[in-house]
Amino acid sequence: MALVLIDGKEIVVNPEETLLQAALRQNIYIPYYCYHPSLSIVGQCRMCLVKVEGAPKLLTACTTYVPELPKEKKIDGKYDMKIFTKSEEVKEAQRGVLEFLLLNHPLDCPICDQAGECQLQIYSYEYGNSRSEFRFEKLHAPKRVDLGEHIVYDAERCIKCTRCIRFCNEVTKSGELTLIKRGVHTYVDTFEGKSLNNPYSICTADICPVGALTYKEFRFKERVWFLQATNSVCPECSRNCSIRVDTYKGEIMRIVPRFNPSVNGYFMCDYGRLVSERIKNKEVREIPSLREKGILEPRMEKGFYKILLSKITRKYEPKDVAVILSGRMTNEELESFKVFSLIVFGEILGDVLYITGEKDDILVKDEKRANYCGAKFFDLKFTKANENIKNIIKGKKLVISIREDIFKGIKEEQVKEILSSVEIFVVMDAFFTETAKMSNFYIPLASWFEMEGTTFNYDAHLQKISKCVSPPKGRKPFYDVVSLMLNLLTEMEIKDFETAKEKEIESVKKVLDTFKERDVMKGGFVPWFKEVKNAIPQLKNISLKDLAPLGFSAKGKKDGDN
Amino acid sequence: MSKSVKELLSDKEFIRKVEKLKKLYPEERSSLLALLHLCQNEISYIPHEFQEFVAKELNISPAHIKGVVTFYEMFFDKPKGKYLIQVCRTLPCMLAGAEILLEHISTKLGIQPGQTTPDGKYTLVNVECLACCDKGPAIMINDNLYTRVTPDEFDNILKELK
Ligand code: SF4
Ligand code: SF4
Ligand code: FES
Repeated sequence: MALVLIDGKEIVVNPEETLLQAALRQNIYIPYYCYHPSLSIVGQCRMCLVKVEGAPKLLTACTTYVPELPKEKKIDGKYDMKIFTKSEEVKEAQRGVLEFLLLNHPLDCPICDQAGECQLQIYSYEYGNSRSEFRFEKLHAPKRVDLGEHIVYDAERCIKCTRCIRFCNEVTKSGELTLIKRGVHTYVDTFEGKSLNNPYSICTADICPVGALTYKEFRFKERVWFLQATNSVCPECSRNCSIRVDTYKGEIMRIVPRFNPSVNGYFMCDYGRLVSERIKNKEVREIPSLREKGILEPRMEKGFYKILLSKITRKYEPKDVAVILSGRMTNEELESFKVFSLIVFGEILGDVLYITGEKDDILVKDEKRANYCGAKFFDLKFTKANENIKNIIKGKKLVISIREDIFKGIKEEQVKEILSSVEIFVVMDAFFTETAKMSNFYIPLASWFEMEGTTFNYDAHLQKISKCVSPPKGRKPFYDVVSLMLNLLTEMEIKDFETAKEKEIESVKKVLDTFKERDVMKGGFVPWFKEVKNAIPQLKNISLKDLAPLGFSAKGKKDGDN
Repeated sequence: MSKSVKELLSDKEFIRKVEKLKKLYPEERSSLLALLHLCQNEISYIPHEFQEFVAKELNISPAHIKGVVTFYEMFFDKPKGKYLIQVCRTLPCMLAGAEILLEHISTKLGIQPGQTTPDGKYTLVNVECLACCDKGPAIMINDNLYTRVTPDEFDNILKELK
């Protein structure tokens, strides 16, 4: 461990870290382009030059390690190195580096997608010179190069930092990119007949510090400064990558990975990122619909739910009912389902459809829904994949399918056959799916990006999902639907809340036991319990005191309720 | 006529040379430049097929090989003429008249730097310093160096080339 005096401030530099890493860690900013915390160090861009006392020339902070000096050699009897990052010499070098980087740059910021979040703009403003000595015609280089399915490259804007190349060599290990030629003629290219098509390719656009790499799905969509950012979680596999959802006027414009060391690091896969594109093309219906004379007709909400409830509440033996649940349901939705099931059917039913697929050893997990871990914690039953849909439904009279398109790709006749014994088929989903079209009752739900909630990833890491865009009024989170139905039940005087309450406490205790074992209670009381209780007034009188024998208490007033 | 790359890669003798070169270095990947030279010596350029072959041999990405081939002016990834005419364009040669010489060669052969005559005889390129700054303008034709070359002298040299 070395002690360094940097611009008059003391910092500690560990043997395995560079000067730049140590400075950034201790909140001292040194500008840099080619350094990226998850990639190897190359010292390519020279932006991080600093003055090291006693060194004959400026050194790149990103490649400088600090050895400990013997006691008698310490500077001022104390320091192992003395650094200046703001001296005239350093400033001159920074101006020079930026001037070189911009020498042949087209300065086309007004039409560049990176504008507003471009490190060239930011550093030019902060460290650059307002004019250039270059008086000659600028060199031209390839523009709008299609590097792959998603990525477009502009060699004139590229500063040759090689981050994109190292990403492909070190993270995806697919090695598609290289620098070709030399000197001012250098640019990024692929091998003949090959393109940049690895499952994480769009991350290269994220880590490109300038506007050289952009991706087709976002190119020219919106100026970045108009975007509104909301933090959330990717729904597409049980990794639960932390994401930032950028929206404009209620529409998702792009999704970018959000750094989270215990979940996804800096990256996310293209498939997860492009979920926003896939859901754009899906058919939606905003209003609950009821099948009459063969046609699924939109209905007024209250009337619709009254009919539904009068037909299903305590009308069927639990053995005649099948409920298909989804790993796309948040903890809050799962919990409110249990309440719903207890009240309407007298016991907790439900099969979580377990859908798996390809995985890789970077981020993508084989579980293709976000919250299977939550469903496990909530003690729900699992059923593997589509094959078994038939078995779940066979001989049942009432079938409810929530957030899964169970009949996707199955022929209509076959679906009809599967449903032959079924009297009532209820579908709740954010999209008007093939399955939804076969239902007697269709309830539109808010999509993953249209509601608040929490989810557990495969490793029991709890994260919050957020309402990034507002759903139209008719589409609600499932817990709001449950709340609405339970209110109606009170009005309709079909209720059995006392036994439900007891059973609910039982089930909550069980869930909390699991949480305790898994050590996920550290952050105070689990938010879902509060949310669920807010959504379902009838459960308000379950207090944390009921749970006190378990040793749980609310940490701070705002999480608890008394 | 030199061999096609296909013939080259199925030539046992050639593959033996490749194996030998690979073993010459403590790390196999260090033999990259030697292998590229080997190919260029045999068939005058380094086709993409060969680059892919080397990539596999040395366990390096083909893209990286392309980076190396395009980095060095001495490597060609397209077939070049029988005679490679390299004209120095560094400052001292330019001051000594390299610009005029280049223009002369260009008109004489009817090609621009980087191009090959249709009959496949001459390829003209610009190069950086040939290390004869005191005797500019300098040119190299294949392995032979010529210094203080005037346009007239170039015409004489050309006559010698069969
Ligand atoms: S494209 Fe971007 S990331 Fe790649 S070398 Fe150029 S500036 Fe760096
Ligand atoms: S790895 Fe999984 S959670 Fe992460 S972005 Fe991809 S699909 Fe989404
Ligand atoms: S960040 Fe140090 S040289 Fe690029």
